[in-house]
Amino acid sequence: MSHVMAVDDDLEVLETLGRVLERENFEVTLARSGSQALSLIDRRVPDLVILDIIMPEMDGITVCRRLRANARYITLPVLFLTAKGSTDDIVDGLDAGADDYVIKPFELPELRARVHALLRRGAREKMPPSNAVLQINDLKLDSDTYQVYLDDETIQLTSTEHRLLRYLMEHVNQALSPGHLLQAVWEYPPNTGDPDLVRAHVRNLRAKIENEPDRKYIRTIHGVGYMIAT
Amino acid sequence: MTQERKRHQILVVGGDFDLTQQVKQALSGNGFVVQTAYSHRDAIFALENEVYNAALVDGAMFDRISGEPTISALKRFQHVPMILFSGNGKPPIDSSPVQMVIGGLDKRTLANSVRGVLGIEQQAAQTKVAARVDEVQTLFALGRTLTEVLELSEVLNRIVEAARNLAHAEEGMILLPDDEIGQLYLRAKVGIDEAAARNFRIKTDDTLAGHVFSSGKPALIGAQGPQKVKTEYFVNSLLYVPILLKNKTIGVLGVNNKNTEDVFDEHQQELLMNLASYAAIAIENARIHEESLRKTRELQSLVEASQVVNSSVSLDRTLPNICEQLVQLLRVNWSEIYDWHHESNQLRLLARYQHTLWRPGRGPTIKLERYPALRAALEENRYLQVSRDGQRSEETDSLERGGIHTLLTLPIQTDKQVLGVVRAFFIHPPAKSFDTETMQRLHTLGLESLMMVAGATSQYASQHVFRLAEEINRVVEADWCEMALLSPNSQSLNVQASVGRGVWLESPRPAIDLNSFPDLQEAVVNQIPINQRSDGEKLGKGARAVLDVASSQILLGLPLVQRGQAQGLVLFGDARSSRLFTDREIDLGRAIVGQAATALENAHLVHDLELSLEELKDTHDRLIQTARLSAMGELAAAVAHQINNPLTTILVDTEMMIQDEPENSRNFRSLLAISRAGKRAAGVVRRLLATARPTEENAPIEAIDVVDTIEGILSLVRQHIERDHIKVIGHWPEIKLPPVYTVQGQLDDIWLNMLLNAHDALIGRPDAEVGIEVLYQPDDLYIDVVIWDNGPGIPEHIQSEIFKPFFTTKPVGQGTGLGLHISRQVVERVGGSITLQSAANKGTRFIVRLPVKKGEK
Repeated sequence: MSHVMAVDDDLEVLETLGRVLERENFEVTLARSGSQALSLIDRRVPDLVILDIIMPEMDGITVCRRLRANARYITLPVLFLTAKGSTDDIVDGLDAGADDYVIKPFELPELRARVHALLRRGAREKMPPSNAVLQINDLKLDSDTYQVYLDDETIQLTSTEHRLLRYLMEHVNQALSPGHLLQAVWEYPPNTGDPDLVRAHVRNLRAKIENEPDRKYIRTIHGVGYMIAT
Repeated sequence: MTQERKRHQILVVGGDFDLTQQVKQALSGNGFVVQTAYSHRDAIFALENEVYNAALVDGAMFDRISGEPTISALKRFQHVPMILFSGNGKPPIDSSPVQMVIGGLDKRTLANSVRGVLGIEQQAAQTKVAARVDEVQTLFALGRTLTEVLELSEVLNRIVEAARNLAHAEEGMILLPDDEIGQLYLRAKVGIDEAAARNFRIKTDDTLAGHVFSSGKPALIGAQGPQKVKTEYFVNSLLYVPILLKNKTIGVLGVNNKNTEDVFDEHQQELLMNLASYAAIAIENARIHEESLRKTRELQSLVEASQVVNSSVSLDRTLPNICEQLVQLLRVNWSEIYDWHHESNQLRLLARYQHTLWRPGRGPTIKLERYPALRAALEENRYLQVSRDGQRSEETDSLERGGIHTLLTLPIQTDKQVLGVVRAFFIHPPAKSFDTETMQRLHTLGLESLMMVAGATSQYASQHVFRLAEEINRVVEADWCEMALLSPNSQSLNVQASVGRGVWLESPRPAIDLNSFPDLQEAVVNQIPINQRSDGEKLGKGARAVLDVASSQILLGLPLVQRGQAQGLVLFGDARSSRLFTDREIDLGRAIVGQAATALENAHLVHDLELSLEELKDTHDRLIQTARLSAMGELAAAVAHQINNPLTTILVDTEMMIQDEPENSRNFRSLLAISRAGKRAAGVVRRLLATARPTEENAPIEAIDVVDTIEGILSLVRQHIERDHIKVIGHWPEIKLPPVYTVQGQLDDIWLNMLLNAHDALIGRPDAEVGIEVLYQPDDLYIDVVIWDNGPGIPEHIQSEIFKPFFTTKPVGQGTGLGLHISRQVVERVGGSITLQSAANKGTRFIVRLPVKKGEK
């Protein structure tokens, strides 16, 4: 039975989330603040955290950063809830290392689909990948540590960034559309999820691995999607 | 009031021819008609057959046959008084039948003797007294009235009339000096025919009148009989007296006889001298009065002109006002202001004011053979409206040259015969349409004015024509109008009057090419005035062209100068007067043109200022807009947060209950209703967020695939729309479209907005459809996205409003009124446009045109 933690300062929303998750037969932990969530996770790591962004004292983004700063929680799937739905919030959230986001008020099937997809991926992350190190030209990705090696530099990726880069490297010279990547990387059913999610993650990934002017790995094919070329 | 003098028939009887002639000569010209008889029998025959008042008989005359003294034979004519004279000094033989015997044959003796026998000596004395009384009364009356009359022409006319009466003369005149050319000219006259008067100019140095003028002494000629004196024409007798004012001659008062043999005498000279001194005072009074009037008028005009010129800073009002003031000040027909366009070396017309009434046949002619449409309109007696936007023809070309947008020509008919036309000129497209009522009013005014111009010569009539013309301009809202009479052979129109004003601030503007007209070029460049008459000897090419075009007689051109720099030219002209402008008038004109230059500059400055202000206001509006939007954005985010949390609970918990509830239960439908309401509320919040999202200042511009954005949005809203039984149709080309460069997500917002607007408009309508179509052909520079619906349409009166911020037709809380506003801003930022087509109950089409960059894949 998967263990899902929901964090929201709004008690009504929190309890609704509790009811939704219980109906899915998950083990549910509820937290009403960021600090409460962090201490609960310290005691026992859940399989997925559903995290509200706007909270008093410590907001969801800070909570996510704290988690990602700890190697223990690098693969812990984080699903953001946002009531603002503005691009800035989403980008901030994904920058902080979240895997996906859902905008309030969400529809029940949508939330269910995201939660199940993230749990499936989380389960697979725990198994060692078949081919731990992939290399294309000077770009080297270690799937054990989620680290990229470029020259002498070591760059730490989040789990979703790692999965996205790995997928692109596994399908070298193929242009992959956001819709395709949502299904393949995020394991969403067809026509679910937001292409913005893909764009935001690509942007974050580029910021990390294309940090020098001469480093260009991920190409944007306008009107199609993204590609890594040999 | 000339008294018909009684003429006396006198018979002079004498055998000596020379003696008889001497007597005859001496008597002639004293009011006597003198006949002669040189023989005894002639004398008897004459007295038997003619009536004589008296006879002068040579006492030494005999019948050559009978030897009977003639005087004896004449005794039987007892009713004729006889005067016996003696040529050889011998006493008469028989003086019994005669009344008088005279010895001397001098003029005076003869005349007195005749008067004596006729009894007219006494009569004459009586007449003389009566005449004196008359004369004094005339002088007195004249003197009194002259002091009351201040108008110079009137004063002069009265003096001349009085002079003629007092002197019993045929002609009377006053000559005044024209200092400029050193000549005396005929200033007032009576009895002189027009043709003679027109050429009557007398040099002051070598003529009789000139002599009187320069010496201050009277001249009396005529006692010696007919003679030619230096008066430029023949007179029998003449009397000139100087008009003296403070010992200075200011003119000459004269009388003369050309036909009668009456001569003037010293008495009449004295009378005329007296009259001349009255005249001097009256002329001086009139001159002072006129001077003061003129000065007052000039001052008043100057003050008014400055007030008017400076009262308005709007160019389109200032310019014609300046022209009008100039026309009034210089009392001309028209005035035009040109500015000098240096690059093209052209004078371009800025404004015109015109109140011209031509003398019959002196105005411009419109030859009908050149204007077939006009001819046809005249023949069919219907009005003709020509606009320069129309198909090119002689007519449209002439409009273009004249800076006229539209010309309305209305034939004026009376008794089924076309009398002429009224032509109304519009510089800009006419603001109102010409309905039947307007045309009827125009016809009435046109008929009245054409009747007036056909016979208008008096000041009153021309004022009346001008008033009618102004009324015509008002009725059709024209800039100016013309009245033209159809020529007797119906081949041309003769323009009689042109009245109105015009301002040209945009092209096409009538222009004068200075390269072709050196005289105008010189006037502008060297800033020298032009003062020309159409018959002047040194008439320049440009001045002639201007005079021809305006059918005018005189032209004054004053350079428009600002801070020493020539900026243009102001032209004035008159169609009736043919005098040159005086230095004083030129000075006055310059004063106003100087003011005009300043006013013009002010108006230009204000015009620029207004433009800057407008820009500033726009910027300000945009800033306010941005601030409001930003505030809206923050508010929306806060509201969204506050509302979306409870909505989450409502929607999700309701959904869970719906899943658990049997579909036929009573609660099931209630739960569905709650869910629907919640989703609607969620939609409102989403739209609020979408539209009120603060613009991201530094958001990167990306290459966006339009079809991708449309697909994305359709996938988002299709279900939402279709749930309300609205069919959603999407259509776009199969080919790959070039990208549009904009900020990510902004196009999505536009489609979302427009589709949701269409959805709101379509709810509850049968067969409702909304579509989004992409129109693009390879090599097009634009992608057109058409969002259409078959809804109720957007009422015409709000079509221009819908893009304004915060405009919404939706109930409070359902729309922000920002969607279309922001959409348009986004589209305009990428260089595109949004256009709207909407018809009541047929639907609405928004066409979003987005430019694409070539060569982008």
